[in-house]
Amino acid sequence: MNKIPSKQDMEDELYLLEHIQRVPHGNSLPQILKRIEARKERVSASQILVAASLLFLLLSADVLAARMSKKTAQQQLNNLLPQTEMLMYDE
Amino acid sequence: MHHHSLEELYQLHHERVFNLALHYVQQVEDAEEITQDVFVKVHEKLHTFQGLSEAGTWIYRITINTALDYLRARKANKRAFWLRVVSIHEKKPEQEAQTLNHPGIQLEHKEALQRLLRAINKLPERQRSALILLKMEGLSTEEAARIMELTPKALESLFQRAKAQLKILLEQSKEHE
Repeated sequence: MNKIPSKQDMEDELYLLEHIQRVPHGNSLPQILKRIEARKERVSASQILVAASLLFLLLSADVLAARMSKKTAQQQLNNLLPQTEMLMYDE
Repeated sequence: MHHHSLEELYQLHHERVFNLALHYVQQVEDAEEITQDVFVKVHEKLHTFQGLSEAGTWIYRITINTALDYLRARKANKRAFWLRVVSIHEKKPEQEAQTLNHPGIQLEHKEALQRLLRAINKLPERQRSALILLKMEGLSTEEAARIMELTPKALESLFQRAKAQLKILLEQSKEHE
């Protein structure tokens, strides 16, 4: 049968953790600086993309508004034409 | 107030950040990835650092959060992988044997420590952090409490709960052997 660890066993087990040695770490600062630069470039690229999308939306809205006003003018003209014709016949 | 540069903070803390990350993920490559992530975050948040706590405390807090995020993502990926496997083979996955790659573990203690670390990996996140900071990093209760934003008393109680839970997990692992 397996032995159930007592309180002292637990302390012994945890004591093992203190045997884990610190591992030396090389210099990864150049890679970190590269990642920071790459991130900055990505942010700039996405900002340009957002600005371009906004410009496109504004231009589309402008074109749409111009088309709408042309359509409205045409409709008003169509409404006015019969009245003008009627006036002409009256005269 | 002294304003730190990224280079200065890196030189002062990179070894401890790497080792702390290594205690969480037990893989050299993953710990390196986390270390780099931590210092990218430090660079991004440097202007928000108020200097209310010590820079070291602040950086270790970022390290713990980054390591835990990394482990959560790894677990989610693993789960997604197993779901795909199960859907193909229609059987339950067996527990995947974790491969530990911690160069700080000496050969003579390897087996015992692997068993212990596997049990620690199953602890709830806060309990695991308490155990790692106090036992693996060898910090004082006050230092560890500051990093975890707890009172020393609350940390001590968390540590006691971690030990009790670990004991249960170790018993279970022995029963399965």
